[in-house]
Amino acid sequence: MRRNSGDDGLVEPRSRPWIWLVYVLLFGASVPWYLPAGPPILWLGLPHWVVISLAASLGVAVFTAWVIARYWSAPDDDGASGEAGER
Amino acid sequence: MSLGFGAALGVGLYLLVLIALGFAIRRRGRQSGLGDFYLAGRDLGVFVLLLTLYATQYSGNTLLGYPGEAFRIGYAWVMSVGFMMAIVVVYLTFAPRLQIIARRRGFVTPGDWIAFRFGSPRLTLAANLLLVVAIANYLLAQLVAMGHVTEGLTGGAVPYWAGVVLLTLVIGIYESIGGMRAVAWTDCVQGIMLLVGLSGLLLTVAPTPAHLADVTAAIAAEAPEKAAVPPWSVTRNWFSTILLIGFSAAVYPHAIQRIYAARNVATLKRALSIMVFLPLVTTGVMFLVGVLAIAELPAGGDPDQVMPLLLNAWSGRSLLLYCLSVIVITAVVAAIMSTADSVLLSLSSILAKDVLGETVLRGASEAQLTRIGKRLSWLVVVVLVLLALAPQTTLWGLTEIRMEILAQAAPLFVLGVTWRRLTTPAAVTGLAAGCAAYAGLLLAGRPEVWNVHAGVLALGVNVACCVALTRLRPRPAACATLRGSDLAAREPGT
Repeated sequence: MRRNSGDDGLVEPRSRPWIWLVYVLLFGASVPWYLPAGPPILWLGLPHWVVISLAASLGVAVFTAWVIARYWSAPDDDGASGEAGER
Repeated sequence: MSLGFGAALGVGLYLLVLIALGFAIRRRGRQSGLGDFYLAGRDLGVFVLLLTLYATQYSGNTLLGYPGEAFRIGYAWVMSVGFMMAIVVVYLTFAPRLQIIARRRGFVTPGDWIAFRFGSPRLTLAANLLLVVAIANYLLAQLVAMGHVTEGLTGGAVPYWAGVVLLTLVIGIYESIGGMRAVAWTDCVQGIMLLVGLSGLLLTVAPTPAHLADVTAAIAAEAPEKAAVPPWSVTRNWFSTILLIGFSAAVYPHAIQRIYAARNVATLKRALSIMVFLPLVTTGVMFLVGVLAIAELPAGGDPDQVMPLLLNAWSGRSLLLYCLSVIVITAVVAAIMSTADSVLLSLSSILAKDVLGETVLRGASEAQLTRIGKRLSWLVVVVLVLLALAPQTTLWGLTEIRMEILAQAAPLFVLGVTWRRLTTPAAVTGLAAGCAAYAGLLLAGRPEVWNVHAGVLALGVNVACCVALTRLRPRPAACATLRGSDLAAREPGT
């Protein structure tokens, strides 16, 4: 198994490349560069690309909260288990 | 933005609460050491840390400038939600390790990290100068905003200059008596005001899907470019803005000091976990307000006047809307003051500890440096108030300059923490090349190239120099910059 904590027992998100790949995908989805030009289709009263952008931004927030809970822990972290706490 | 007596009363009461809070905090705790005065004894809990990060990160520009931007460019301003979230994402790259090192080493200022990591007084001085220029610019923008808001709030009864002086005086009083504790607790009041004001605003505008559909149809008919899928020129600028705001706002000196001031790792984690959702209810609401204004206000108006005009229009409709508008105006003042007080405290800490403490006051005790820092706060305030009384540029101009300068310091934190091989000569060259590239593009009249900000391109040059010069050197057996296990996080697979 890969080790992702330092000598000091710190587990941090930066050492997991897949986390940053997910961020690239989420931020990439939040910018409507991939949609064809043209008049907007209405979703919930808003242009469809705005709803997609907001949904991707919500995804960034949820994913970040999950990453913080799951992949960030330290010896003095008295409030969360994270990966270090599971090993 | 004149809402008469009610608004003046609301803001007046709010200012009295801030001063009372400053005095109450002085009676409670000692403020003799630098860590006590500038980092609240490194003991900020989740509630205070979250609200001080929140109130500091969202300035008066968020409440006054963002609806104006949405009014000007249309639905594409939904980008403001994403770029504010990017700040928290960038924190994830360096905050976990930086917080631990800062606690072990007793860091007070961002310069302490740079001096420790790179061991170069020249680089530390250059970075400190960069940070001072950027945040002094930021503070100046807040003082200018204070004057405009007070003048508008009272319909000109309190002139611009008196607004600048009065609000700055209030900040100076509670900050010099209570330090970071006073700033953090007043930020809590200001953060709550912001959330209450924005909730009020959301209730005020509360559009249904049917109403939104009418608004969108009207915008699509009258200004189709504001509702259509943005062209490539806009999406390129959108990506550039996410990078610019994400990397520059994450290394605001006052934000770095809040990472140092967190009580422990769990506190910082919880605060950031909540903070990442706040753009949805902050810049998201401002975006919605600006879009609704497109249908409500005449086209071609001054974007900076969008919020004042809307508040005036709404306040005349009912007593409830009047009260909500007063809360929003107080929240605007709160947003400006909460940013200004944090920046002022950070500025005085850098000047006292990193500039004077490393030169003419070398060897001075922490108590002496703290006393000098308090006096420096007042000196800085006097100089910037004098500049604010004769502003030479627009608010947005000040904001843009600040973010693009700050971005050049980002590699010192992001790469400095995450990449143990980064060498000092590479970091020095990167910083110099980044600043030179930015200045060169500005002098050449190219603030944007292919819709990408000059500051982002300069950051690319900066990072490229850091990577190239570090990789050109043979990999050392033991990194000279390592101290104990501070930077010894193993890379995946090792």
